Amino acid sequence: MKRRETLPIVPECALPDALASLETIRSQDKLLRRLINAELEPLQAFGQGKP
Amino acid sequence: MTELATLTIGEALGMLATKELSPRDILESQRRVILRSNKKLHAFITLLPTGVKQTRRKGELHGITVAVKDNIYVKGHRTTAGSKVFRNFVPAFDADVVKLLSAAGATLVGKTNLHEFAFGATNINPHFGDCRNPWDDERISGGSSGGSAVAVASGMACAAVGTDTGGSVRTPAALCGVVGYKPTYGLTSRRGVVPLAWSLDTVGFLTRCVSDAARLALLSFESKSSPTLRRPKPMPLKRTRIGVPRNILEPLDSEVRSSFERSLELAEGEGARVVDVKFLHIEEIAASRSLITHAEAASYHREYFAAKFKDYGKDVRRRIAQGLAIPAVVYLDALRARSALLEYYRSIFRRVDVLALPTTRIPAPTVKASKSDRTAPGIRTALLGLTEPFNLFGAPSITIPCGLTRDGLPVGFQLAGDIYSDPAVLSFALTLERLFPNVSLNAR
Repeated sequence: MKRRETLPIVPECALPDALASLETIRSQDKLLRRLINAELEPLQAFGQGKP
Repeated sequence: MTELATLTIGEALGMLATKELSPRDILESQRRVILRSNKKLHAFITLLPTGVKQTRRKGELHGITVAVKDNIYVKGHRTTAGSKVFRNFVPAFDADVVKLLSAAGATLVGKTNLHEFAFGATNINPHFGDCRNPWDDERISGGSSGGSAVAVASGMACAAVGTDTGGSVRTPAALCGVVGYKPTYGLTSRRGVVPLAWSLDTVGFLTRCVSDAARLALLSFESKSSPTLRRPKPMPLKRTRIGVPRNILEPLDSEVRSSFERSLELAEGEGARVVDVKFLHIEEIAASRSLITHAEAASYHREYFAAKFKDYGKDVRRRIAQGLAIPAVVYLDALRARSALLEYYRSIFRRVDVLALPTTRIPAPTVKASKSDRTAPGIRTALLGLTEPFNLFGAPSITIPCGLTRDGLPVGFQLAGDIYSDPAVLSFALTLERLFPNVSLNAR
């Protein structure tokens, strides 16, 4: 049940593959967050008063 | 293989004009190649009823045969997208690219094999047979437009249409020794094309020379007022700055490296300046493209996937499952990252006129290695790592054959430019093609 809640739109039969890919997704996301923080967020903070 | 079967479009049109040959001669000689080789190479999924009737239609491509990747709609003929899921799907209309090429008089000869749903680079296809390389049939064609590349390389059609989301036109073209051109994103219509990832998918062309690719593209571009619609002419290389992103090339097969370096020397011999370019953020580029591709593909497939899970091949099943697991915010961040990366990419062209790099890091691998769980992931990266950046940016890119390995396998030389610089990229390619050795199965 817990698995269904974490990946709500993944059909039951595809769960093992979906869960196995989470680590890849996490590391790709981490890379891109770093880029966004370096390239985009400072501009937003400066221009739009984002804390 | 007869030489008739492997004429370029330009050569064939010349001979058709002087009545040295007829459309039927071309069609029949290519049909013979198909009958002889298709069972082994698995280039076509469906052959269209003999196109002779179509050859009566007049137009710029009158008498020219074109093969169409089987994820592109042809009205009244099944379009499987290389999958059991769509095995009985018959579209009710032609894709725009099919409509435009048919209106120009092209004869459509068949629907070509692909990696299932264009979601892979090998063209190992569990439903319609593994597409094999005509240079060595123990090796893969590459994909996902593998059948299109095989059809052109082996003389089954004068030219072919494919789609490219991460390298799917350029990779098989390079491995099979033909030209593969991916235009700037959006110049060719995606209407009537089964999508892989809509913000990256681009209809492209596989041909025997650069000028043929330009000819098909000009006939297929959506907006006839586009500034990119100039017929390219060979461009003198004197003082041209060719940027080479050496920091992203490795690990490069040694024979691919030597063919590539020899090609650069030929360009330098004509006065080009080869400039080292540090290509930054390659890992971020790959991550962004991967997340966007997987998420968009999963969005398209989610209903079919739940209903027909077992009809998908194992590798594509795994990739769609991965796409379904991507949270919306992660997809959105991948799109934001793409905007930042695009600015960086465009800035490169303040320093150079065009980028040059090998199309793939390796020549065609064996079917066996491409199926092994141990070697397949490395092969995928070696086949797509140098093509995918240009999909993320929507940039024009072309591969031209530049030599053969000692085992007689073709090597591709890739050029890429700033978005909408298609005429310049094609012009450089026209010039370089004349400097490079003739790579064709006939010349072997």
